Order: sequence, then structure tokens, then C-alpha cells
Amino acid sequence: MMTRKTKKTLSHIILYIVLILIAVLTLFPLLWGVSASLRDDSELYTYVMPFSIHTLIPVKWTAKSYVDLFTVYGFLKPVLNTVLVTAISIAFGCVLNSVAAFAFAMFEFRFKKPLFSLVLMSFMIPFEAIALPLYRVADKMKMVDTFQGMILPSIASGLVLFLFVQFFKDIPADLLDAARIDGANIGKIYSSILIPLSKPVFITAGLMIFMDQWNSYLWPLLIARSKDIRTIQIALTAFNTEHSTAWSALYAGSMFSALIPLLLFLPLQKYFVQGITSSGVKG
Amino acid sequence: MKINIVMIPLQVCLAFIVALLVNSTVKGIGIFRTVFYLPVTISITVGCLVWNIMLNPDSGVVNSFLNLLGIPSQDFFISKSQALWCIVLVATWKGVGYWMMFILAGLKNVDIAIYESAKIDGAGWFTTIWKITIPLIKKVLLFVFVANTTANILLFVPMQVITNGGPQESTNVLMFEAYQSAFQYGDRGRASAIVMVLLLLIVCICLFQAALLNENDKSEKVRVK
Repeated sequence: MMTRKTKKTLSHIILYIVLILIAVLTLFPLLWGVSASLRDDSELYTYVMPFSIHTLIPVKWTAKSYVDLFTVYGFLKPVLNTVLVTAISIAFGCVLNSVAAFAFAMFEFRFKKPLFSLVLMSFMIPFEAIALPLYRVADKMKMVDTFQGMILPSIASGLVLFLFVQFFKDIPADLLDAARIDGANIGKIYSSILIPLSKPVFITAGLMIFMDQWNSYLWPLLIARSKDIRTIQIALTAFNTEHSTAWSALYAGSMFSALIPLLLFLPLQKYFVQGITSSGVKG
Repeated sequence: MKINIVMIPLQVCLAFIVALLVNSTVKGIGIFRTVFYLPVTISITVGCLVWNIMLNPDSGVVNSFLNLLGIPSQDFFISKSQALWCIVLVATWKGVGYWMMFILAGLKNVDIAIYESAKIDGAGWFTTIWKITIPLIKKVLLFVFVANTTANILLFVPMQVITNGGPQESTNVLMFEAYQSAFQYGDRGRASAIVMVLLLLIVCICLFQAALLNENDKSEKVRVK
């Protein structure tokens, strides 16, 4: 008969095997992408069939496709555009949503409840559903094919606002009352009491806006008509249609676009997961 | 539409199973959790591009691997019968980690003492999950189910990037149809109509969720009495 201990080790081994299998399935496209981006196209085509060790690992490592990406295929402009759009969205998004959340969390005013319900509803409705009507609005405002048009809709975000409200609610009211008695006005309370206390939620919010904007595809696809203001995701798919056989460069572009969110995510994972789950678990 | 009937339960079940797995407390579980989150941080566009090349019928690595196992090459995205399933694969690869986050957060809220007492009462692994875990995280599961449904109904990028609705309309979905109407055929009216239908569908699903949640609360209150 199996003792309890062997039974436990056995179940652990099975658990590990299953976990590793899922991990391989999850990671394979990424590792394959990295490996494929570090070799040239002819090698990629030659070794893919029949399956051998060199299907997965390059014979001759080369970073040429990454260099080509920026020199031949002009990826620098889309990358800079994306950085610009993302940075402005984070800056304005954090300020606007946190100020609005400050009002919702700290003050009583007319129509507060219905307004807050509207905020909650706004993140139940996925962006895809409103993209086409929103495009017509942008069109009427003459914002198609401009950076303003690309950035503006993403600044006021119900989810980010909700995150801030949740956080601000937990700040003791006594603290703010004390500041008020000492003669601090609202602006002062916000900037020198609230912000220093709320670093974690600012990190979460910034990270979420970053992921949204960096990876956003549908909205830039609709609104960025000309090549000059294209973002990286649009440049990638356009590249796919124009040079569909330049696989190595395509992989290099994909990996480059994936790398930056990954580098931010790994150290800040805790904040990101908190941000995403708070909407579902508390809401 | 019909893929959603398979894709939604598939993604929710997989997310639930993976969440259960990573909720255990064995060594190194944090690494696995991080690995399973990774696709969440990667854009759907990149996911589509990479999978599209991997699933290339002539020189894709997946076919190469299938040949190794003695399975003949498949057509994947250029086959009328397989294209939609490949999209399910890509969407699931990208989505499971995301939905898992919610379920895992729900699981973490469950008091460990409840499991302990179940164990003492002699409940097996399966009974524990069915009778204790699922009822306790019902709210989260319901949320994931509804959010996943709306997300999948609006799935659009794989069709736009990989298949362009084809082959032979086999991957044409409402959202893609709306996009095509507005930007390829210049038929704004038709596009707006489709979007309205989609919005109504989503509102219905949200109301359905709200109704279910209310019912739950009521039944809980009755039990307390």
C-alpha cells in the first residue's frame, strides 16, 4: 500500500508535469519567435522541415533582422509614435482619472450616484463595441489621422477611475480633515497628501494604460490613416501584408513589440494583476 | 457565432483548471504563474502574426512537428473547415492567462480553513472542488463567463490580420462584417446597424448577469434566515 508521503510526492510530480506542459505550450510561440528572429530567412525555410534540432535553434545566429527592421523597413517612426502616444496617455490618464476619483471618493455632490454608475458601466462595455460610432465622432471633430484623435478617447478610463476610487476610499478621512484644519486647500491636499500616499495605485494605473496603448490595435487602425502617425501594431500588420515572406524581420518586429511590455510586466507583475482583477472581484 | 459555443466554455474551463493548478503551494509555483500570464501582456496582433507563420501549411513549424509524430500536414488557416478552429486556438492561447487571473484572485479569497474541515470530513479532491470551491467563487466565475462572452463576441483582430474573413467566408464574424461595411464598402448605415445589434446583445448579457447575481444574493439571504 502506498504511504501518505509517496502519494503526496506522486501527486506533486503529476502536478509539475501538467504545469510544465502548459508552460511549454504558452512559451513556445515566444521562444520560437525569438529564435526565428535571430536567423536569416533562407535558414528559416531550409530547416523547418523535416523537424530537427536546427528547426528550433539557429545554425548561424544573427541580429541582422533587427537592424533591417529599423534601417530598411523604417520601424523607428512607428516605435517613436507609439512611445509618444503611450507617454501622453499615461500622463493625462493618471492626472485626470485620479482627480475625478478624488472627487468621487471625498466629496458629496448632486448626481454623484448616477454619475458613478455611468463610470462603472463604461468599463463593462468593451471598446470594440463603441469603436465604429466613436470613429464617426472623431470624424466630425476633424480628428481622424491626428495624434489628438488617437490619444483623446483613451484618457478618461472608467476602469482606471474605479481603481483610484477604490484606493482613495481606504485613506482615513481624519487625515484629510486634519490637513483642512491646518489650512490646506483642496489642491494642496491632493498634491501633497494624496499623491504621496497613492504611489502603488499610480503604478498600477500607469501600467494598465501603458499595456492598453502599447498593444492597442483597433483604434489606431481606424484613426491613423497615414504612415506618419502609425503605431507599432499597425506597422507590424501592414508589414505582414507588404512583405509576407520576410519572416525573420516579421518575427523581429513582433518580438520587439512584445519585449517592452514584458520588461515592464516582470518586475511590476503584482501591480498589474491587482489592477486587472480588482474590477472583476470587487465589482 | 457557432465557435463561441465551443470557445467560451473551453476558455472558462481551461482558465478554471489552470487557476486551480497554480493555486497550489508547491515550490516554484510563482514562476509558472508568471509564465501563464505572459500572453496577456503581448498584443493580440503579435500573437496572430506569430501563430500565423507557425501554422503556415507549407513551412510552418507546427506542421513540421506534426510530421515528426507521423501526422500529415494540415491546411490550418487556408482550410475552410479548420480556419475558425485555428482562431479559437490563438484566442485561447492569448486569453486563458487573463481569465485565470480573476479566478485565481477569487480562489485566494476562499478561507483555507474551509478546505481543511472538508478534508477532515473525508471529502475527496473532486467533491471538494464541485461542492465547495465552485459554489464559493460562483460570483467570480459568473463574471468571467460574462466578460469572456462579450470579449469573444467582439473578437475581430485575428480575422482582420490573418484570414480576412475567408476562406469562403468561414471566419466572417459580425464585428468583422461591421468593419468591412464601414471601411471597405463605405456602407456606414449597415455598419451602424450591426454595431447596434452587437451592443444590444452585450446589454442583454450584462442584464442577464445582474439578474443571476441578484438571485444568488436572495437565495443566500434566505439561507441565513
